[in-house]
Amino acid sequence: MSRLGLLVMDASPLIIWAAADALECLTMPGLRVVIPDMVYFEVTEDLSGTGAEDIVQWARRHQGQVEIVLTSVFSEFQVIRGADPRTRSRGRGGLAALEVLNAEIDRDSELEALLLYEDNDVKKRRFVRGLPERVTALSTGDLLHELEAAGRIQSSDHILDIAAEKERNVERQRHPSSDDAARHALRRQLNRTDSGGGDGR
Amino acid sequence: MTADEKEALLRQYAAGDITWTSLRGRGIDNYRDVLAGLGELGLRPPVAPMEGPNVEVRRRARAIIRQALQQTKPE
Repeated sequence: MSRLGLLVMDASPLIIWAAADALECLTMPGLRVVIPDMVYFEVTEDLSGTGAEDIVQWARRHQGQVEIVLTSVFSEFQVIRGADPRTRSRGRGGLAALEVLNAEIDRDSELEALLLYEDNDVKKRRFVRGLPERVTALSTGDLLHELEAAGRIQSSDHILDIAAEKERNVERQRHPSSDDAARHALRRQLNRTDSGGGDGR
Repeated sequence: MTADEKEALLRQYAAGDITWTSLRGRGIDNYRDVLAGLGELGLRPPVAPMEGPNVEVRRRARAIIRQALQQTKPE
């Protein structure tokens, strides 16, 4: 029986951990972390994206434990994108992860693996039918709860809150919000009022 | 998609009513946008309760993680 480790099935868990500056949590259990190349591309394509550079550094720091695995899905995507640069990855990360999983199962039907999914997907989708007995699944929340129970992090909620707040702040910096637009409009209005008052009308 | 529609979808997502896959199907295809939107609304990413069709495999996965964390416990 071979052990694949933790297979990242989608970009969202990596984006949450990176935004919360908590990527080290993924490597804490000491298991191999397998990231399909398509998923890695999705999270690092825009290096200005929150945590993208952190993911590159983290993968480099844990070389040997964190492994980026090649897939045909990504190769095909590159070809398609070469023809049309506007092509989006849209769901291809999950397909690439399944390709990795199927290849490993073909090699060893008694494979042991943990599939890391986004929480609502793991709650609602029935995807474990037909998988070998030792292939299990968990979500970011499941992993956070175990880390919290083991005393390795202080609070799951805190990590999730930081991730959302940090991404919100980055987004606000990128796109000045409607609040800023409203402030500018108010300032213009005040300037006009000042001018109006100045000439005695 | 209007801002109101996006907000409604994000609220449903945070409440665990719709999946990330379905958000993507409705045009929000970057999870960073989801996180930013949740942050703007003062919400956090959802955590799945122990229910649904995959409970048993999740329990087994968590047991493996628990054991692995015990083995890597810092001195």
